[in-house]
Amino acid sequence: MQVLLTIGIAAYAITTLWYLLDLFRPNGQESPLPVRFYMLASGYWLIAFPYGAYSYALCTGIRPWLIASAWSLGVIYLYLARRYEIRALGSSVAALSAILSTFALLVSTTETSLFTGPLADWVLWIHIALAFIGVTAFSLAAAVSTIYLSVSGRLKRKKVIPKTLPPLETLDRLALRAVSIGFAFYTVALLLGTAQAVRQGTGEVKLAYVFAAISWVIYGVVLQARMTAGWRGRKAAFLTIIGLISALVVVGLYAVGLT
Amino acid sequence: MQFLVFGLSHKTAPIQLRERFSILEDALASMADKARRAGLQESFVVSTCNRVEFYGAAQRLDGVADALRTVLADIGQTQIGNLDPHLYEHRGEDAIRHLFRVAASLDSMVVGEPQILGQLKVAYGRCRTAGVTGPALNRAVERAFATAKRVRTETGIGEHVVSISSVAIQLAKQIFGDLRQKSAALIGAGKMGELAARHLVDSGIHELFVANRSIERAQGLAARLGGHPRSLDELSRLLSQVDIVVTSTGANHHLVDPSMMKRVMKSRKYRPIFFIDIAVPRNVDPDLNHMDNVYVYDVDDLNGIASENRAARQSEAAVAEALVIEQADRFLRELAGQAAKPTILALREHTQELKAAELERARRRLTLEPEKADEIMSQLADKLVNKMLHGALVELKREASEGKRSASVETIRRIYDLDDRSDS
Repeated sequence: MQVLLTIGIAAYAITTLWYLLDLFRPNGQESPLPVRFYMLASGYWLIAFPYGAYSYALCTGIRPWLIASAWSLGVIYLYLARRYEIRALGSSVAALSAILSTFALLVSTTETSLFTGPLADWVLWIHIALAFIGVTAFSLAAAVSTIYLSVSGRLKRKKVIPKTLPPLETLDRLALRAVSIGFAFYTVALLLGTAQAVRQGTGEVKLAYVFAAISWVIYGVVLQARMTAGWRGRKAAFLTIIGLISALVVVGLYAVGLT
Repeated sequence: MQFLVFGLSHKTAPIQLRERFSILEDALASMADKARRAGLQESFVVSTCNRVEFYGAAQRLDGVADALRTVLADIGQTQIGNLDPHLYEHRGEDAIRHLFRVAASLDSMVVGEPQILGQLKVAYGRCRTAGVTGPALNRAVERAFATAKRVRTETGIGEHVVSISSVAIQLAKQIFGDLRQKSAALIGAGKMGELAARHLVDSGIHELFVANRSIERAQGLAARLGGHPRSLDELSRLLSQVDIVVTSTGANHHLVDPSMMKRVMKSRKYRPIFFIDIAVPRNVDPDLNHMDNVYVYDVDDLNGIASENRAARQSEAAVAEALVIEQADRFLRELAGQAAKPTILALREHTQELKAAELERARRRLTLEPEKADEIMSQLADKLVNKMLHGALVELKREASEGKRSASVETIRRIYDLDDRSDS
C-alpha cells in the first residue's frame, strides 16, 4: 500500500507543477494536458484502492477516508471546471490532493479497524466520514480562496492578469458554497465526536479537539460575518485558508497518532 | 498563373488620402470587375479604413499595374501623380506572402486586431459570388484564411487588448465576470468618460446612471447612452448602488475619498466596486485601492496595462510571422508542383503509349517466332529506350549545333546524374 500511495502522491505533485506551468504560459492559452493528467491521477485510486483493501476493510480507519477525500476533491474540481472557468484552481486542488495523500502515507500501518468494537464504533465511523466530507469541502474552498487572493493581489498591484484566472465574483461564490457545505458536515461531525468523547468519559482534552474547535469557529465566523455584514474579500479568503490549515492539523495529528 | 497585389495602406498613405478610397460593400464586385478589365483574369478588392487593395491573378501581368493605377485614381478622384508615392505592388511570392500577412492581421495598424479577417472574408465573398475570382485566387485566399485561423488559435496574438477602454472592460470582467447583471455610473460628462461608458453599454451592462453637476447635461448624456440621469449631490447613494464607476469630471479635487468610501462600503455590504478614473486631475483618491474590495484604476494604470499587452502582442506577432511565412511558402511549393502537373501527366501518357505500341509489336513477333524470344526482348528494350530518348536527343543535338552548352544540357546532366561521367 505504501508504494501505491507514493505513486499517487507523485502523480498529484506532477499535476500541481503541470498546472502551475500551464497557468503562466506566456501566450495565456491553456493546454488540456494538466486536466487529462489530473483525471489520470484521480482515476489511479480507482485501481490502487482495491489493492490496498486487503489489509484495510473498507473505510475502517482514517487512511481510506484520506484517499477518498483526495480523490473526491479531484472529481469535484473536474466537475466544476466543466461548469465554470476555473481551470486555474487545478494547481491548488492538486496540491491539496497531494497533502491529503501524504497524510494517508503517514498513517500507521498498524491502524486498527473501527468495526471490531461495539455499536458505538459506528458513531465513530459516521463522525470520521462526515469530518472528511467537511475537510474535502474546506479544501476546495481554500483552493478557491488561494486563487482569489492571487487574482485580487494582481488587480491591486495593477498587473496583467492571465486569461486563465477566473473572475473574483465566481471565486467568491464558489468559496462561500464550499464553506457552507463543509461547515454543515463538519458541525455534525464535531457534535458526534464530542458525544463519543463524553460517552467514553475520559475527560481528557486532546490537542486535535482544540484544533478542530478552532477551525469550526473560524468557518463559523466566516459564514456569520458574511450573512450579517456581507463580509467577503481578502479577509474571508485568508480565514478560509487558515481554517483549512487548522483542520489539516487535526487530520495530521490523527495520521501520525499524536492525538 | 502569376499573382498581384496592388494598392495603398496605412503604412504608405495618410488618412487624408485613404479616406478618399472608401468603397462600399455593394460596389466591391464591380471594382474587382474593373480590375479584370485592366488585365487580371481573377480578382477581388478589399477596402477598409486602413487599406484599399486589389488582389488578382493572370497569366501575364504586363501593363496591369498601370491600368490599376488609373482605376484607383478614378476611385479617389485624384491625379495619378499624387497617388504614385503611396502605392505599392507585390508580385508572385511576395503577393502571396502579403495576402497571408494581411489575413493574419500582421499588416494591420493594431497588430492582431480581429476585424481585418472578417473584412477580407466579406470582400472575397462578394467578389466570388459575382464570379470575378477564379480557381487560382480562390485557392490562395482560402489557404490564407485557414492560416489566419491557425494564427489566432495557436498564438496569443489576439489575447491581449490594447486600447484603454478595452482594458477597463476586461478588468471589470475579471472582477465581476458577467457584466449583464451589473450596474455602472458615469460621473461627469467628459468625452473620454462617455466613450468608456459606451463601451460598458456595448458590453451588456444591466443599468447605467449618469451623474453631473449640471442635471441638464446629465439628462442629455443619459438619453444618448440609454441611462438614468442623477445629480452629483446623490453621489454617495449612487456609489452604494452601482458596481462600476467611471469618473471624468473637471473637478480639481477628489470627489471620492476614503472616509466617504468607508461609509459606502458598509452600506453596500462590502460588495466589490471598480473605479475607472479617467479624469486628470484624478477624481478618486488613489488610496482607496488599499481598501478591501475596492479597485481603483486611473489613466496611467490603464495605459500601463495596455502597453504591457501591446508588448506581449508584439512578441506573439513574431511567432505568428514565422507561421504565416511557413504556410505561405508551403502553399507556393504546392502551387509550383501543380504547375508541372499537366506536363507530368502528358509525359506519363506519352510513355505509356510508346510502351503499349512496342509491347504489342513484340507480342506479335513472339507468337510467330517463339524461338527468337531473347532477341525480341532485347529489341523491345532498345526500341523503348530509343523512342523515349529521341525527342530529348534531337533537342540536345540542335542546341549543340549552336555551339554552346545550353540549359537543356545542364538539366539532363542533373536529372540523370551524369556529372561524374565523361564530358567529352
